[in-house]
Amino acid sequence: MLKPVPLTVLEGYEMIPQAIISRPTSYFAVRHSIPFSHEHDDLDEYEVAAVQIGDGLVFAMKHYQGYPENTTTIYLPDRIKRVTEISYVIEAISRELGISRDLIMWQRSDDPDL
Amino acid sequence: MWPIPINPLVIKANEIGVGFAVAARMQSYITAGRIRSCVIRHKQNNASPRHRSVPFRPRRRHKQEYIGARGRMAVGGGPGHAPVVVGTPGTPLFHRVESPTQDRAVAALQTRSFEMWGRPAQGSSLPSVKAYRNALPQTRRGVEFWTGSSPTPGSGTPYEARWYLGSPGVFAPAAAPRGNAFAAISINYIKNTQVP
Repeated sequence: MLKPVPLTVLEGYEMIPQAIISRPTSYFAVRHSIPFSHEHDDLDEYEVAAVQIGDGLVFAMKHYQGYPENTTTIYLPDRIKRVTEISYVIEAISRELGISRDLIMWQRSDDPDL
Repeated sequence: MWPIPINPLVIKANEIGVGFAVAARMQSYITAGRIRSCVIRHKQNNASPRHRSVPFRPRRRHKQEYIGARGRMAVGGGPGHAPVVVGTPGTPLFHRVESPTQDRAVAALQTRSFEMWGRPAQGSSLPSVKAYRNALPQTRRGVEFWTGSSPTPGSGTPYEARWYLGSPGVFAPAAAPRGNAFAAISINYIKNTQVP
């Protein structure tokens, strides 16, 4: 089950981009009632939401303006390091979000050294 | 009364405009009886009036320092300013776009220092330099750069690169303000389009 949580829940985590989905943030905002907020950092301005899945794992969904349009990037805490573990979590998140595998346009296992 | 041969070509050369100038200015000069063949002889530069009429004078701030037209233009920038390029480009290129944290002053500092700095991301305590991959798009203002330091493996995407402290070539800048964690990399080339 997906549960939107305040962005403050991400405090203390270093979030690493691990997968890019070919759907805009508005898709998830409407379909899963996930509230996105507008923020900015050293890189650019972005839309972001923090979400918790069933087992308590918190992840971030972001769209930086410089990324391709109609994409959302999944950011996971940096403690999830192994590629197999990352792929497992991305698969679980995709299942919860109700998106098929072909909508994942890139994920860490495609290019672990990037 | 003097003959008044009006030369409309001279009258047209003022800041008010053709029709208005002929109707208003010449009429006042005629009544004042000062015009002899449209040349105002008591003025050195008699092709145009010495002072603009009140509605066309630049507004001045009477209690604070005067800000000239260039000062105002600099805020919005103009289309005619060429980018500042320092160094020779190599591959791969990276870029950052103009944002509240990547403003003109920061871009100028990056150009002068030949360094890119980065703060911790939101909620994090780990400073990292962040940039987009590839050249700066034509449609956006920002800085394009090339560095000899490779991004930290496993932290980026096809669109985004990060350099964390501990990776080769990444350092904590000595000039960083106290209490603020920064990571920095040296760069070999920069093109700054955040000008002026």
